[in-house]
Amino acid sequence: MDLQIAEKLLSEEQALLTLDGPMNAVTAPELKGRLKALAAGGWAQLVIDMGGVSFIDSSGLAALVSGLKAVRGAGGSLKLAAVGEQARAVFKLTTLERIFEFYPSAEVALNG
Amino acid sequence: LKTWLRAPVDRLIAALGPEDREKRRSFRLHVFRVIALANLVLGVSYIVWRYTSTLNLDALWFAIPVLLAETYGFFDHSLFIFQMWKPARRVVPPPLEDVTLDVFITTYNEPVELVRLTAEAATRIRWPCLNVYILDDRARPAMRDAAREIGCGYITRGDEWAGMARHAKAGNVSNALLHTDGDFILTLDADQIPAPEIAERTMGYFRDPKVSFVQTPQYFYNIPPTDPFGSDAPLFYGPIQQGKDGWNAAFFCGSNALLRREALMQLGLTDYVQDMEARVRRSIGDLRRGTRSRAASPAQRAALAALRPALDEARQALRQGQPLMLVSDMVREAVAAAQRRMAEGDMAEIAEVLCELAAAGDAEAAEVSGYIDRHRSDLVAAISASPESLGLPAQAVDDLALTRSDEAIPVMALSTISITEDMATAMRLHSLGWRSVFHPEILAYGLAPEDLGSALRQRMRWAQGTLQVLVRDNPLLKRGLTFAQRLQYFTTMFSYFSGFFTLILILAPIVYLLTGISPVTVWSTEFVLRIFPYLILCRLMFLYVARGLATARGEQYSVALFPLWIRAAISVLAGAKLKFVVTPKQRQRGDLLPLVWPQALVMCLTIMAIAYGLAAYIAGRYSDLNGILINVVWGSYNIWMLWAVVRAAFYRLPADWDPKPPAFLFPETQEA
Repeated sequence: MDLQIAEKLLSEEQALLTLDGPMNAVTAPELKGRLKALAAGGWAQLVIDMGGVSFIDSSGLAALVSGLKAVRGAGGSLKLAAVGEQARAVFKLTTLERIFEFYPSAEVALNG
Repeated sequence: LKTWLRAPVDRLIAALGPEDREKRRSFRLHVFRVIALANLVLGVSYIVWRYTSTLNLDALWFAIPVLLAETYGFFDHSLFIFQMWKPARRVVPPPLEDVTLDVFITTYNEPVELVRLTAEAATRIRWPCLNVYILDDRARPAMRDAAREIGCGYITRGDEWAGMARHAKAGNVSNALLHTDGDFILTLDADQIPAPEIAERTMGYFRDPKVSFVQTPQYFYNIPPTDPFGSDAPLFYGPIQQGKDGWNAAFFCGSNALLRREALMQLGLTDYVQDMEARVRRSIGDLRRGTRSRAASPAQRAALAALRPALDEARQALRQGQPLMLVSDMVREAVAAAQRRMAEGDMAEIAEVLCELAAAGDAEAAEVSGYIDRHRSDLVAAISASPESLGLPAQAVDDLALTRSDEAIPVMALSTISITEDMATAMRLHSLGWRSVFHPEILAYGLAPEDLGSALRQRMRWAQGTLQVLVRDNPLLKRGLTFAQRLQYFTTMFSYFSGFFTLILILAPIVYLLTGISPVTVWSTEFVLRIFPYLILCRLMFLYVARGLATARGEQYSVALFPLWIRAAISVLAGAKLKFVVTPKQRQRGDLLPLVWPQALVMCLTIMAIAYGLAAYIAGRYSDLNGILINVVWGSYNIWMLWAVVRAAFYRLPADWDPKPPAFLFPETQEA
C-alpha cells in the first residue's frame, strides 16, 4: 500500500502535508524528497498532519528524522499534528519526542 | 419398444438361465458382458474403417468434425461399458447398534411448510438415538418457530460468518457439524421426505469401518405425466450408481445419504493441513522472490542476504516433511531477524542524523542520539522494520500464522472447490481411502422442478459444478484414487462435453441434405452394414441395462440440451465465477421459448433440409438414394430428440395438478 501525500501551500513560508497510509522504507524517499524540496523552495514552516498514518516502522522514522534535518538546515521548523497511538509510542520509546513538536491537530499547529 | 423387448429377454433368461435368483443375476451379467464385448468389437472396427477408408478428403472442414464427434461418441460409449462392467451386489447387513444419528435438513429459501413436512417425517425415522436439525441458512424467525413446534433442533450460521465467504450448502453443513456430535449424519434437502426405515435399511453398511457414506436414490413424487422436464433419473439412481459402486466409486449426491462424521472430519482436517502446507510453501516462494528485489540501502541488502539461506533451509525442511509448525516458526524467526537487522541500520542512521543536528547546536539531539546508541538492541526489538521496508510481501508473512483468517470456520468438512460440493467431497473421501455404498432402494421422496426454467438452471449447476471439479481437482491426476475410480469420475465429467459433438451431429445431415456435400466418401451398402449393426447393438445393450426403466426422456434431454452443455463447458473453461443457484421448489412462470430457441431453430432447419433433400432427389439433382435416406432417418432422429425440450417450453401442468407425497410417510394423518 502506498503513502498518499497531499501538499497545501498556505503562505509564502507555511505549508501543510497531509499523509495517508503507512510510513516505511518504500514510502520514505517520496516524503524525504517532498520535505527537502519545500525547504529548499523557502517554505520553512512545515506542518505534517499524521492523522492518516496507519503504521510507522523504523525506516519511516529514519525518513522523518532526515526530513527534519533538511528543514532545520534551511532554517525552518517541522511540526507534527494528530500523531496516532502507534507512532506516538515509537517516538516515546526512542525519546525522539523531545526533538519533534507535537500538536493535537493541523489547525492548532498552523495557528500556534 | 422396451416392454416389447423386455418380455422376450426375460423369458429367454428364464428359459436358459438357472433357477436360483443369485445365479440368474450372474447369468444376466454375463449376457451383458457378451453384448458389450461384441459392441466394442463392432465399434472399433467401424471407427478404424472411418479413419482409414471413408474420410472425405475433398471436404475436410466437414469430414473431420463429424469424425471427431463420432470418435467422442465411441469413447463415451466405451466408458459407459466399463462403468457397467461389474455392478455392485449389495446385501444389507443388520444395522449397527448403539450409534447416534443426526439428521441435517438444509434450507435456504424454501417455504416453511415444505420444510415442516420433511422435518416431521425425519422425527419419525426409526432409530434409538436420533436428533433432527433444521439448518436454516437464512435464519428466518418463522422457521425457528416451526422447529420449536416440531421439537427439532435449529442451527444457523453464527457471527463468525459475518462478512466471510458462505460456501452455500457446503458451508451450511460444515457449520452444523461443529454444533452437533452424532456418529452419523443423514443429509436431506428441504423437500426430501424420508421414510421411517431409512436408517434401519442403511446403517448396516457402516459395519465396515472404512465405509464413509451410503447414498440412496432421489425419487420425485411430483413428476407430471410423461415427465416433460426429464427430471426422472432412474438410470442414474439405479444401474449407473450400481455400476460405479462396483468400482467403489458411488457418487455422493448431496441429499438422501448417510455419512460417517469421522470421515467428514478427517476430510476437513486433511484439507486444512494440505491448505496450510500449500500456504507455507507459497509464502516461502514469495519471500524468496522478495529477497531478490533491489535493495535501497546497505542495511536492507545485508538483511535480505542473511534471510535467503534461512529460507532455503526452511524449504528443505518442508520437503523433508518436517512439522508445518516448525517450518513456519523457522521462517518467521528468519524474517523477524531480517526485520531487526534492517531496523539496526535505521537506528544507526537516526543516531547519525541526530549527531549532525547536535553539531548544528541542538543540545537535546545529542542526548537523544546517545540514548538511541546505547539502547539500540532494545529499540530494534520493539520497533523493527516492516516487511514492506524490506521489500517482502506482507501477505506472505501473515500466511505463516497457520490460520485461515479469511474463513469463518477453519475446518470445512465438505469440499468448497465447486458449486457441486457433493461430487468433490466424495472424490476426496475416495482419495483418502474411504469406501462408499450405493443402496438402490427409494427411502426418501422429494420434489423435482416443475417448470423448464428451473429444470434447466439445475442442470446448468450440475454441469458447471462437475466441470469445475475437473478443472480444479482433476480425478485423472488426483493422488489416492484407484484407476477405476479415476475413470468413474472422468466418465461423468467427459459426458458433459457432449454438447459440442451433438451440435456437429445435428448440423451434419442439414449440411448434407442442403448442399450435397458429404462427410464420408461413400454411403454404400458397406457403410450401412458397418454402422447399423453397431448402432443397433448399442441400443440393445442400453435397453438391456435399463431393463424396464423409463429412460427415453432422459436420453432426449441429454442430447437436446446441447446448448446448455456448451455454455456450461465454455463458462468453466473460461474461468467464470460460478454461483450456487438454489433450485426453486415452487413453480416459476414466464415466457419459456427464449430458453429453447437454439433447439427450435435447428429443428426447423432439419425439417427444411429433409424436405429440400427429398425434393432435390425427385427433381433429379441428387442421385445418391442411400445417402439421402440415411440422412433423412438421421435428421428425423435428431428432430425426435430435440422435440422433447421444445415441447417442454409449451407444457402446461394439468389444471388440477397437486402432487402429494406418498401417504404411508404420514401414519398419523392416515389414522385421523
